[in-house]
Amino acid sequence: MSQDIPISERTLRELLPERLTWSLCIHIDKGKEVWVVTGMLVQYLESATDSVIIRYEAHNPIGVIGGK
Amino acid sequence: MENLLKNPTSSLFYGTKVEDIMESDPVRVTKDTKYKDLVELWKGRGRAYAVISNEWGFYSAISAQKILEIGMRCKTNLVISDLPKKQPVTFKKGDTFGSVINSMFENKARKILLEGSNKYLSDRLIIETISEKMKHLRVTDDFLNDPVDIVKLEEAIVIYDDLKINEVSKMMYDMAHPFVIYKDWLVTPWDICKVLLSPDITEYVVK
Repeated sequence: MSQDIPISERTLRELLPERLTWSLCIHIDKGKEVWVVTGMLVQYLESATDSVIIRYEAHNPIGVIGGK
Repeated sequence: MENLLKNPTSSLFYGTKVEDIMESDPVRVTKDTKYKDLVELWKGRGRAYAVISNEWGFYSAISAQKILEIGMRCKTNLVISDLPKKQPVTFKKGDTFGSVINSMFENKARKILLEGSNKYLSDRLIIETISEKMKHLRVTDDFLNDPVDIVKLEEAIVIYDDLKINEVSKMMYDMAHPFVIYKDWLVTPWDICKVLLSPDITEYVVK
C-alpha cells in the first residue's frame, strides 16, 4: 500500500482487509416491544457493536436503535 | 434517549414496538467505501454506526469503537494535545434525568462528567438504571424530575502522558467502555474517528 495516501482516502477494505466484518450486528425482529431491546442495549452500547438493528422478513435491516 | 424525553413513562417500554422508536434505513457501506465518506455519512446522521454485508449472508457493524482498530494501526506523530480541546460537559449531584439528558443532546455528548471528577454517566448507564433499578419506569411517576444520583457512575481513565494517536487508540481498544482524560483533553472513539481524517496521517500498518 502506498505510504503517501492519507487514511481518509483509503477504502475500508484497504484499512481492515481481514477484520472489517468481524463485529456482527446484533439484531431484533420488528414487532418486539421496547423493553426487550433495552436489555440488549445495556450490553452492547459503547462496544464495537454499539447499536441494535431491527430486521424485517429474513435479514433485511430496516432500522437501528442505539447511541447517538 | 430522545424517546425518553418525549414519553418518560413505562408505556415507552411496554406496548411500544421497536419500529416505533427506531431510526429508519441504517447507513450502509461497502468494502470499497472510502474512510472519509464513511465519516461524512456518520456526521450527516449524527450517529456513528453503519452496517456492511458480510461473507456469512448477514450484516456486520461498523462503529466508532471499530475505527479504533484503524487508529491503532496508523503511524503518526500526532498526539492527544493536537486534538481540539472540548469544554467538558458536566452535571452535579442532585441534577435530574431531564436536565442531564437534555444537556447530552444539546452538547452532542454521550458521556457527561460529574463536576470536578473523572466519574461519568452515559446513555448506556442511564438505560441500565431505567431497566434494572427503575423497572422500566414502573417504579416512578416523574422520571424526568428524578435525580440521577441513583445511577452507578463509572470512571474515565486518567492518563499523564501525551500519547500518540495510535497509542491512545490501542489503549481505548482494550477498554470495554473507552473514555480517556489527559489534562484538559477528553478523548472518546469519536475523536479518533475525526483525527483520522487528517491529511497528515498517511503511514499505516495493515497487520
